Amino acid sequence: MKVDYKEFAEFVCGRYGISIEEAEKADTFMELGMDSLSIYSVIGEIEERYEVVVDTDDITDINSLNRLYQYIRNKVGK
Amino acid sequence: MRLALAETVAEKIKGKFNIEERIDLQESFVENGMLQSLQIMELLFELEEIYGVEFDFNSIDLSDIESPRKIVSFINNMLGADKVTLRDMIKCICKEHLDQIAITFDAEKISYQKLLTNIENMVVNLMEHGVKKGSKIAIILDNCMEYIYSYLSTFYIGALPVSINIRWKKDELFRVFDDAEIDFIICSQQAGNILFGKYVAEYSESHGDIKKIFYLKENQFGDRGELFQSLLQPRNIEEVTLEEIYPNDFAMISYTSGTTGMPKGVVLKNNDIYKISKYSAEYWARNDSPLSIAPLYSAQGFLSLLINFAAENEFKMISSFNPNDILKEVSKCENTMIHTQPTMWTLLLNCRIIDFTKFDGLKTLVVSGSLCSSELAKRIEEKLNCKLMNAYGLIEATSVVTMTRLDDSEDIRFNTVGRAIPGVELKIVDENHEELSKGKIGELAVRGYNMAGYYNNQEKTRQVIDDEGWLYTGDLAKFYDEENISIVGRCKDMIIRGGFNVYPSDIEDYILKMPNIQTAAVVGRKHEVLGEEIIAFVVVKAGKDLTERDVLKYLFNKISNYKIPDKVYMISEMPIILAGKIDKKVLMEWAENGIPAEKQVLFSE
Repeated sequence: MKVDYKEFAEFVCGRYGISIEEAEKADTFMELGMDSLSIYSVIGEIEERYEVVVDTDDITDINSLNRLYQYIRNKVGK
Repeated sequence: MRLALAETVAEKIKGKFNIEERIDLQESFVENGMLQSLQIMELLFELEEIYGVEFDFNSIDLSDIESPRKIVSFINNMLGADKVTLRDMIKCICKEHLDQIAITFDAEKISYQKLLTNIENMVVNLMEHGVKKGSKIAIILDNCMEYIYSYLSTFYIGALPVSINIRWKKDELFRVFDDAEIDFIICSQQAGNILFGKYVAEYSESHGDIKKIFYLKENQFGDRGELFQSLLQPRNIEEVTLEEIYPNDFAMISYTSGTTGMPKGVVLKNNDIYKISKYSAEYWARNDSPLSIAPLYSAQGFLSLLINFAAENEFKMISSFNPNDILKEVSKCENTMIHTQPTMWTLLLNCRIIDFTKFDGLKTLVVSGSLCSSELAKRIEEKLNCKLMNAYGLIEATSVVTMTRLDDSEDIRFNTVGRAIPGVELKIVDENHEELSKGKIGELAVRGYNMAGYYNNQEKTRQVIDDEGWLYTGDLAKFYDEENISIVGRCKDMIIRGGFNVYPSDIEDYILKMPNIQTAAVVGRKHEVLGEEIIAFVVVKAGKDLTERDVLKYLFNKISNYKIPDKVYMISEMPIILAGKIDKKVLMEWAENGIPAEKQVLFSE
């Protein structure tokens, strides 16, 4: 299953009510007002939608839209 | 400065007189023939040594000392336990251990001498700026030593710290400032992700009654701004005349919720905080060196600060909440006790480096703050190879109400939140507040160290505390056995997400301010890591269009980030019970199992 960037970005940003532009500009999700807990709540849906299992230990590192996308893309495979 | 515990006395009796059977803490050992008068005398001599008291053997009545509970009551009376204030506790503990290390904060080791000196310097400097007994001081800081100095020096003066949740947005902050009638503020320019400095500047500009603002780095407050560091300038405590503090005097105000609508500031009393700190310390950390992980603005944070300080044995706090940093600190093996809340425990256990973390010397683990499932409790004990104590409490009861004990069986440790700590009474009641028989599920009511009330809010106080002083906790519980209780649910409308208490009405009030919203309701849903997630259900006005994203976008900069719903469902109508009240039980069921097709609202994207 391929992970389309635009679709992924819309999904994640839509969940948080932020624009893709804002998410791409920010270094981390924290800058957009989220915290590490918010990320846990979206991971479940990402796991379901893309049929992957996310190692919760990795979450501290995947704290921006781009890093999250790369991580999921790698997990799913090309 | 120890307080006597009945369990400790019972242990002493067993050890000293080689008694193997379990000692009932209430039963008279004279009546049951367990101890002879001479043995009781020997016991008392030893207790004199331990607690630093002197019995007047000529005037003691046997009935005063014939059971562990009675002995303890007698000793604590002699120690004047009912009279101790936080100022007394701070002075007494520091002076008893001057040369020893009190706190390790990040890399800094601070002796009791240095702690006391800095506290007293800060007391004199604060008083020179007009702080006095009863002054309300808002504190807006990340975890740091300055926070600890702020708390302890404020308690010393008899002023009231008002700790500010560093997730609050401007509205919430101002509402609390108003409600608490703040006189002084201690703040940094930024705490967490929020630039509080500019909010404080804005508020103080229109509120001339804020007398001084003590800032950490940058002065954004004109001539009312004072550098925090200047408060630590060497002074002499003799320079000031301190007002007397009495045991029932207010010690602090902690805001629990209702930061939309009417905020609720829980007012706590000196002697209650002292007793809870001391008793909890006896269970958690006697001769132990504790490490607690909690934000200092929260009840969990400031109470573990005081409990660990009351343990009179070097305790540690660190500024980072990153699980990797915490485990690295744990690996130094400088602490014998670790304490934090369930979500943090889960994050620590899920951390890859836990398999490389050293846990040498660990004696006790403690979990508190929200319900710890038996699965999580087992995981914690297995991974760290150490017993876990479970503590339950609520800020309206000052904090700890029940605790399991270290020598409890696995059954009790994993399935209950333990039994009452000394001074606390419990009962389980039905909707009419009538006591239920043991084993039945009902609402937990407690009495002992209850708050003085919600600040300036008699009405809300009366809703939770009755005329006999019973506090109705809003938690559903039952007696698991004769003394231990289990929490089985909640009847109050509250969600605990990642350790944060979230009141649905806070979120609902905001959503209802959006145009085109007909009704909104917020419930919790179980989540493996967070404990619970926040689920919002929204009914849009007929003919109007609104998506989940619109709702989240609206809320995003208005309320604290931990209150943002994890999911918003648009539905066609709310389930209702009698009198038009929203049936949240049904909503919780929908959140768990899916919304019936006919209630869903579908959009064409």
